This record gives sequence, C-alpha cells and structure tokens, in this order.
Amino acid sequence: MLTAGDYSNHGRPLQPETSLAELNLPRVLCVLSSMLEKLVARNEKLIDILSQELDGLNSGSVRLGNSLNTFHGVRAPSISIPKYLERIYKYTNCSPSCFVVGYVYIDRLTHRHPDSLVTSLNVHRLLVTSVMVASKMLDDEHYNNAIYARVGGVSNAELNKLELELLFLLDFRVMVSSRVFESYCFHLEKEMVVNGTGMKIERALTPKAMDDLETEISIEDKQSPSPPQIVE
Amino acid sequence: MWNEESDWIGSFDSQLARLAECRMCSRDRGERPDATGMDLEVLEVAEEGSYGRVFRCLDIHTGALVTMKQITMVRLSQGVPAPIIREVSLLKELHHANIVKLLRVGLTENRYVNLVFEHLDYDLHHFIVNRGYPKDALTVKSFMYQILSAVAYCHSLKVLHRDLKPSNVLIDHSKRLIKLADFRLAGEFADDLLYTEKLGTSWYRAPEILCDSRQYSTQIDLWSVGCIFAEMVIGQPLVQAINCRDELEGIFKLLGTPTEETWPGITKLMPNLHIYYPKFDALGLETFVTDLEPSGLNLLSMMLCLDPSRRISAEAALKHAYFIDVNYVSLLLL
Repeated sequence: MLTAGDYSNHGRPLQPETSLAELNLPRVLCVLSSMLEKLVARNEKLIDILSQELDGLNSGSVRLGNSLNTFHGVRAPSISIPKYLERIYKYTNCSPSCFVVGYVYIDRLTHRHPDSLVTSLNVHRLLVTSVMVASKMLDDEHYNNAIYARVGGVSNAELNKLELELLFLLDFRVMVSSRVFESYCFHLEKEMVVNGTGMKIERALTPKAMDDLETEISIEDKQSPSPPQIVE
Repeated sequence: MWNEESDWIGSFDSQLARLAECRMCSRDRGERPDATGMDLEVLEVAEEGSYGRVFRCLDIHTGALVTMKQITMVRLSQGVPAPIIREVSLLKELHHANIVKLLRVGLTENRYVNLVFEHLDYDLHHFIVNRGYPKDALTVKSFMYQILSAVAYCHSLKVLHRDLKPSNVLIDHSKRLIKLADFRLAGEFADDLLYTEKLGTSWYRAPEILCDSRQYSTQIDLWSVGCIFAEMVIGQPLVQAINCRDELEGIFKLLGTPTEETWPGITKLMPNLHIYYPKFDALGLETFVTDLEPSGLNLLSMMLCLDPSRRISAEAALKHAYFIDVNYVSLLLL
C-alpha cells in the first residue's frame, strides 16, 4: 500500500488536500480512474464532433452501436469515477486485482463492440458490473450481487440484468490468464509514469483477508451508507 | 479392450424407441423447459443438480443428442452463481479431446442460463457401479492415460480442476473416449494463491486440503486421479468416510501416519496431528489394490503420496512405464 513514507522517499511533499485515508487506497484505483476519465472525455468529444458534422449535413443524430445500451443511464451520475471506484473498493472488500481484471473486461468489450463507446452515461454501471464479475472469478469469498447493487447505487434486479448482459457481450470469456493480467498491469504502470507517479501497482492475485465476513450476507445483515442513486 | 457382452447400450431400434418414450414422458409431465430459443427438443430430465436441472435434448438442426444444463437463478441476491461463470469461462478456453465440449450458452426467460454440452453416454461412476467396473487392464490404462492427458493440459494452462471424481469423468462408449467435465470449482492457480473454499468430494480430496491447508497447487488433482485409478481397479472408493477427519484417518491407516521425515511441514500444518490420530504403520496400497501390475502400483503410489511436493505431476505420469503398451495410435485418432 502507498504510505506517506513512500511519497517522501520520492521527494514529493504531501499535498494538503490528500488525506491519509486516501493514501491507503490501492494505487490501481488512482491510475484506473485517470484512464477511464480520459477515455470518457475522448469519447464524448468524439460524439460532439460527429454530432456537429451531422448537424451541418442535416443528417440527424449520431448513431452509435447499441451493444452497451443496457448500461446507459438517462443522465450521468453526479459521483465522479475516482469516488465511485473508491466506494466499490471500500464497501465490497474485493481484492485490488479485481479492478485490473474489471478493466480487462471493459477493454475486451470495446474491442468486441468497437462501435459502442464508454461514456459518462454507462461507465459507472460498466465498472460495478465488471468488478463484481471479476470478484466472482478471482475471490473464493466475495459479496453477493445485492451488496454490489447497494454499493453501486442500482437495484439488485438491474445489476443481475447488467451481469448477464456483460457475460453475454463478452461471450463468457472472462478468464484472464496471469500473462494477460501482467500485461495489463504493465500497461497501467506505463500510464502512471506518464502521469508522473512511476510506481508499481498491486499485483497479487490473492484475495484480501475476509475473516470477519460471511461469504454471502443480506442487506439487512450489513448496512452500508445509502449510496447515491445512479439512475435519477 | 471392449468386448461385446459389456456393450450395454443396445440396438439402434431400442434406442430410438427409448428416446420416443422419453419424449412423450417429458411432455406428459410438463417438465420441458423453455428451450425453444436454443433450437433444442427436450427428451428427458437426466438429473437434478445443485444449480438446476440437466436435460437430454435433441438438436433440431443436426439431430445430434446434446446435454443441457439449465441453471436457475433462483436467488435474486446472487445473480449468476460464481461457479457457473468459472465453469463456462474456463470451458471457452479449454480445447482438448479429453475435455467435454461446451457447444453454446443461452438465456431463457431472463432467469435460466442454459449450457449446451456434447452428449456422452454415461459417467465413470455409473460405469464402475453398474457395469462391474472396467475388468480388463487395457481399458483402465486407456482411461487413465486420457484422464491424465486432460489434467496435464489443464495444468499447462495453470488451471486446477479441484473436483476430480468418477462422476465428473464422462465416457463416450462407442469411441472409447474419456472426457473431464464439471469445472465449477476449477480456477487458475498462482504460486502464492490461498484457497478458502472446502473443495471437492472428501473421498477424492487430497490430504493437504483435509489438513486444512489453504495453500496448494496442481498436486491436489493428482491425488484425486490416484483415487480414481484405484477405484477403477478395485471397483469401489479406496477410502470412504463420512467426514474429513475419518477420511484422513483412513488415508493414514493405508499409507501410515505422516511424520516430518515422510511429509516435511506436516507438524506446522497440523500441530495436533499426534493428538488426534494414532501412529499407524502403513498397510500399503498393495494390500487393497491387488489386481494391478507392478508398474501400475508404482504409478499409483507416486500419485497417492502424502507429501504434495513429492507427488508425481500429470506430465511425468504420462511418461511413466505403466503406459508403455498404451495404444497411442488409437488415442491419437480420437
């Protein structure tokens, strides 16, 4: 984990707004949110450009692929991507590697369905669904869909639907070999170098300790603070 | 290899009659699932599994028999069960003559996930119990070679099966072909991976898991294969116990209670070993597994080695002298 000591060793003073709690978050969350924010910004800019060009040609609105339609909300959620990832990590107890694997799934989706873009309307749902599926693949003990739904701000029924949608869009190809996992870690680390924090991300494919946690608990057993609703 | 009298499948006519009968039964009982979207005609309910039902079906387009596992997502809180996601995703990646083929995956009524597999006649458990087990040594040898081929392939891809037992070994009678199935507990392994589930059926569970070790690797599958090997020869499970403690005791009676010399690290793994278990002297595998040639017994002892670090690997087992007279040509043609 990243500590204040790690920062001082690199000759970078702590920023006043950076809390120690935030420094205890896995580094993968930081780089992942940065990459996804860039991706969303780029895609939305692309949609704007296409819309303007089509307006000039009087050709109607932009027609993108509808593969990710199930993940679309009416409007973008108010919670930012970094805060959303932090929330998932904090309340679901999944291992940091689940976020890398979740990113692999989103990347596979965009390659399998290149006409469907990750935007602010679908990125949150894609994240909570992909991290949850990654947790089911990686962690022998994991929280159930009901908990992920509550954390992610969607209904249990909707998350179940999103899970099925993701699995079928990926043709159930959700196995990530250690070689592929390593290559994505390397890719994320390269991004960290670009961002000026040349550090390694957490690589362990081992689950976090979950001694005080039942494999499956209902919402009544463990209340988490009421999540911001994604669908308004 | 397979003599005529052991061929219990029966004539083509009687098989057709049986299928027609099943078709009527399943319609009368109203047990047909909604498989219309899958282009399948349901013939019969083969079994009730832990995650749903298994149906024998007819592919409308090809006329081929297929097996459909229908997973019912009954628990809203759970979504798609993790073992099912693991099994399907693994089978999408595993391509081997001795691993069951997943033909397609479908969804009906938004609550049934349908897995369509190639159809095989029966499983090894059924074969051992109902057919009086493989009586000739060459059949045992051929089956063992095929099981080990599949396991070696899985291990080469860093995949552990984690639940090998006779009921998860399927048989294609006409082709004399063995196929591994049920990868629900399977997963990719890493050297530092800690496993937390109580995995596998206790009769086929490796001693390190019975000893509550959370750190294990490919060797657990080899122990299970050894248990299957012994069962094929003697016609019943080598050690049958109702719980893990009794299972370990049975293993220790057979192979001797381990010591630091025979299993380095056992006292750390089980500090109370000598409080819970008497010091048994090994009865020896040869006492129970009598109808096995010396090279076979040697291979079995290398698989059923208490110390996981000394247990033979699947790849090494395939090169063992026991398989010197396996008909490789016929196996290559599978």
